[in-house]
Amino acid sequence: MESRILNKHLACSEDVTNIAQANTPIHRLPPELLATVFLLQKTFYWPNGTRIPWLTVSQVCRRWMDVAYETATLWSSISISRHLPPHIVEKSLQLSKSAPLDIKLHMFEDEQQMNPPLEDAVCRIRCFRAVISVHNWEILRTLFTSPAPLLESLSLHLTQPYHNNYYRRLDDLFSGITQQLRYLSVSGCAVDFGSSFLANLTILEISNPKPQLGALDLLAALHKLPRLKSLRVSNVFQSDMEDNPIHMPIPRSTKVVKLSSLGLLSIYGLSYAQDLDFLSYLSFPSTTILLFSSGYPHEYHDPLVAISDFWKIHASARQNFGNFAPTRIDLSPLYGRLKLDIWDNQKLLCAFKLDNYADDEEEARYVISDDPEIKELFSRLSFLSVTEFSTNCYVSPFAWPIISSSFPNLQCLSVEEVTEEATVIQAIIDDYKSKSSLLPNLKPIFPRLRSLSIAKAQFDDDCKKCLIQALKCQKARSSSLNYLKLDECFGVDEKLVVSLREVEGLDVDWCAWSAEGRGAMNLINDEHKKAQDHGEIDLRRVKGFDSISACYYMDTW
Amino acid sequence: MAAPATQQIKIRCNDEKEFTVDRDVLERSVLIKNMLEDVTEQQDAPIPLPNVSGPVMAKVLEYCTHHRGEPLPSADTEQSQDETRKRTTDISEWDQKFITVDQEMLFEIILAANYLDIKSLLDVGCKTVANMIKGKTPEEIRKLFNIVNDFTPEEEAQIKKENEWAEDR
Repeated sequence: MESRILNKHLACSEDVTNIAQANTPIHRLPPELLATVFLLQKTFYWPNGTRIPWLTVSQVCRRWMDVAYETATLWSSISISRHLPPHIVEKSLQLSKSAPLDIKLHMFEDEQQMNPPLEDAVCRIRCFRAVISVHNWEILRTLFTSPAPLLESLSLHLTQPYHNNYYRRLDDLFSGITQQLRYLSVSGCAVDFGSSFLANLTILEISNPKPQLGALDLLAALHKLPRLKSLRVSNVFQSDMEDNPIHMPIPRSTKVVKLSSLGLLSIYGLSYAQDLDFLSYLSFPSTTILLFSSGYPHEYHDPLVAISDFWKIHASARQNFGNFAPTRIDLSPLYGRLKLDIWDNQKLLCAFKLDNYADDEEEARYVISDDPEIKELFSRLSFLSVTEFSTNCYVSPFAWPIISSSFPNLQCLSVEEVTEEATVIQAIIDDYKSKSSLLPNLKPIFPRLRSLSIAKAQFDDDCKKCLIQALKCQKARSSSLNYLKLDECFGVDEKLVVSLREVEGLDVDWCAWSAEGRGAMNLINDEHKKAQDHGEIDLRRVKGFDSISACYYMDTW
Repeated sequence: MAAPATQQIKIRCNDEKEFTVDRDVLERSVLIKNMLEDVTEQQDAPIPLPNVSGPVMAKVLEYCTHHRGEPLPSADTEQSQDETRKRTTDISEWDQKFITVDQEMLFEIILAANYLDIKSLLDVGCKTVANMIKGKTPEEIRKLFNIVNDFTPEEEAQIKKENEWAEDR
């Protein structure tokens, strides 16, 4: 009798549950739409060691679990680190069924006990990104012995490569068979560019290669990679070693490398003037975007010398630039970093960055002042990017009016600050307060600004009020400002964004502050790619800029 | 041949509510666009839309009117949109205001966008739901959407065990 009552009770509660579930609006979504919503969870960043978003949705109710478990691609991105227990890796591999896999692997020196169960999954790996200590190289070699026929993208960054003279060779992995490989990013290991599995590469990034590559080696490698669309080299030329091959001049008889598909060429870590000779032996379309920067100052401790050298070298390499005739040149020699962008008909052709380590106001004045040629360049500046990676140096509010008067035609301003307040806002409002009685007879700061982007600044209550007031002032004085981006700024919330959006004609884009994104330095250490994404203005959103070239710039970046 | 932009088309919803709308607005819906292309002669009879109610259709038409004239996604742009979708769940300011509705209406709009094949609207709806879920625990999601937890105690225990490694932040 009792069991009958119990069974009836259970049946009733099941019915009640079913009726309640049926009346829940979200349950009207068919499985394929629910799966779409779940897949969007993959776009969110979540910190290591916290719940995986797609695991979370599978734990809401039976229906959601069934949909999540049936959506193989939901489980196909696996970020393996010491934070992720093996049973979750196994579950993800199992639920991803036969879907191609995107694997991230973080394995540092003290994590040699890690042994992710990936051997059987190698044939499914489409994208593999690993940041590992050299001490774990053997684990990697053991895991990835079999061919990876689906592998399209491979990023391998070895940390602490300086402590050992034994070079790790990339072609020791995957039996050297990766015929689909299109994207390769390597750091701290040796690459045999003669290997046939690299022949189809379209994107190549090399940094800190071991052994060091010289300009001649790099040119020889590029001869074998004719399909390249994007080439980024970082610290390839930089070395304190006396036998650094870069110190040997490139022989004049060296054959010019033709890269007819190249859209982006970035050389980071130029330290000596002759590093730029390399450019004279490359041939690429005149539309190629060029980015140069110096990671550590050797000769180039003075930005003005670097610019001067750049122009001299540019003159000698003119043959490679086709009808290159820049119409605008953007230069921002400010604290922490110098950036020179060269635009031709609103297409960014060249950017040159240099760390200058300036840490006082006087030096900013020095860099901005005097030289008539540089002043002329400044007067044509339209895009200024200021990045401050050090907590010890920042642009004081006092400096902004000087910057403004030096760059009267500025249209886009991007400021990335780490811990200090949003001083540019303070400067705009101070400027307005001091001169408002004389308006419109006095020129405001940044009178032609179309876009303002601030990343990683702190906004306290006063600063928030200032921001709204400053934007209203700026709009009142210059109708051109139409885009504001606030990226991971501490204190910025939805309420503030709603207020900002009330400013007529202003498009506001924002990304909430997160503990992980607080410091640009932390981001660079943790996740270099993510750091690069921050602080960039989305030029596609800035009205008045050429949308096609802006898209090209953004997509290639 | 493209029809004149001023051509008016009648539609009838499942609650008999009828709308007369400019053809270019209606053609944001791939379903209706294909229907109109299949009809060679001018028809006065309204197009029946048995899966959409009047109030929901009114919202859908508000969206289509706002976005009229914008290029419809082709196969190529759909692919690039997929790429973009991977990077961002951002929703434009207008769309965000538009989709600020109660849950009942939100899911009806999503279903209507799916049925009418209006990809951009479907995208806005799905992104909105994804943003609502973001960062929440299963319990918070259940509360938000009024979902009954139908796992058995044993399954609950298993889930708890599965989550032991993770912190809630």
